[in-house]
Amino acid sequence: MWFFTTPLLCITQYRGTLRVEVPTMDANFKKGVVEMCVMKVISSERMYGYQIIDRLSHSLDVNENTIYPILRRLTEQGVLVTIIEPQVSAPPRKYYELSAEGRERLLQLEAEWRVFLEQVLGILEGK
Amino acid sequence: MLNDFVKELKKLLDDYRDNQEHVDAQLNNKIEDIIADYTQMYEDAKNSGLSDEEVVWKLGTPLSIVTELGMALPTKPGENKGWKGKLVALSPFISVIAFFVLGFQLNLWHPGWLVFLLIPVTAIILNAEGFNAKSVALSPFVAIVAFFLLVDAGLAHVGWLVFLIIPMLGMLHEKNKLRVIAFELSMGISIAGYLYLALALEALEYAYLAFIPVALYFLTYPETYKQIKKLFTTLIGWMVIGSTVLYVLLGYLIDAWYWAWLLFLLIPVTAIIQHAGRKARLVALSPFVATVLFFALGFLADGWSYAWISYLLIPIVAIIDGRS
Repeated sequence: MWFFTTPLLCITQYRGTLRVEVPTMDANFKKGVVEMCVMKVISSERMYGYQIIDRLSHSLDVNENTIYPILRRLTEQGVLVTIIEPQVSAPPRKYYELSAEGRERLLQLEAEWRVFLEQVLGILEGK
Repeated sequence: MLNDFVKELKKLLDDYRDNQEHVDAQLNNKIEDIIADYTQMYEDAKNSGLSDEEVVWKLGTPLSIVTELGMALPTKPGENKGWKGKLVALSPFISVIAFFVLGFQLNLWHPGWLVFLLIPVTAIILNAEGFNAKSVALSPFVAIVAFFLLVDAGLAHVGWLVFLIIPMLGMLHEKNKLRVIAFELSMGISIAGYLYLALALEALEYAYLAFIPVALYFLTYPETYKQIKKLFTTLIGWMVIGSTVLYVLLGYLIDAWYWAWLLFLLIPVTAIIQHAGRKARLVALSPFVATVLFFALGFLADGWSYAWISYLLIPIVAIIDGRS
């Protein structure tokens, strides 16, 4: 049993202590893409903060602590709206939803991204 | 742990506010909002079954959060490290000096090499937040030291039990107290049983049967197993399986218990390769490369007296990286 538990717990600790973050051009590029992905996952249903972080971290290799600042920025820009919903025997929960302006912006970003991706793939495939 | 996290986040945000020329209600509301959001997210993460360390890994440390939010105080050159940073930076050199003194004066090259563990231990003591995080993060090092001391005392066959301190301490942070008691009890009974079978009855071949209580614990709380299973879907999870299997195989087949544990370094190394930027990766990897070199020279070439030189790789890489 120790064969499993010992190294597994070590992993958690090492992952916690050895993470190194370096802001690079790649990171900035990634942030832009993540912003679009945040808008996309919220477009289908309203979600709360941790739900969005958890959903994205399963699909994207992304530094999770960049997601919350994106949520705040998009909310300040009016792309997202927050809704406080009361809960039974728990504090009210904040949900994020795409605004009408946000939906328009997402459509535009998606279209631009698809064209860009097609062009890049064309180059990479030597077309 | 939630309290520590929120307290630290609040302190950093308050520091930011105190350093602003104009503080208005909007900024106060923003700070309160951020704290409320992170309190909620922390609780959500814990409720999804993550440990405190995993939550911090997922949400980020308070310092990385305020940095991402653009609310971190700018640090002056030379001020960013403070006495803690200086002590951490000095620890490799203190270790080398201690290693020399132990080696040359007392001929204790082994287990004198254990002083090199002071390097990560110093960093953890000075940087880990809260007693809980410190104790769990330090447990592998305490276990390694205890293990080698037991091996030297001729107790290698039961020495590995000290590594069980890691999951036992880790489990103390679990929210479900009944689960904590059940786990600690099952481990305690199993360890006592193993020691009795191995030492009193000298029946080492049957000693593994002492772990039946731990097996029963996993049958009673299958969610623990599911949590562990979740980790096996990642590259790191596979590194854990691979290094563990290899360690046990090398230990049993060629009696490589002393040095084969180096394989476990593959776990943090994989984490660094996956998560660190290309430039930072070199610096972050250098202590591991140095440690592997140190033990390779020591154990395999019996060169303990000069193997310490491999640790000079760390400042060399840092200097080269700094200049680039």
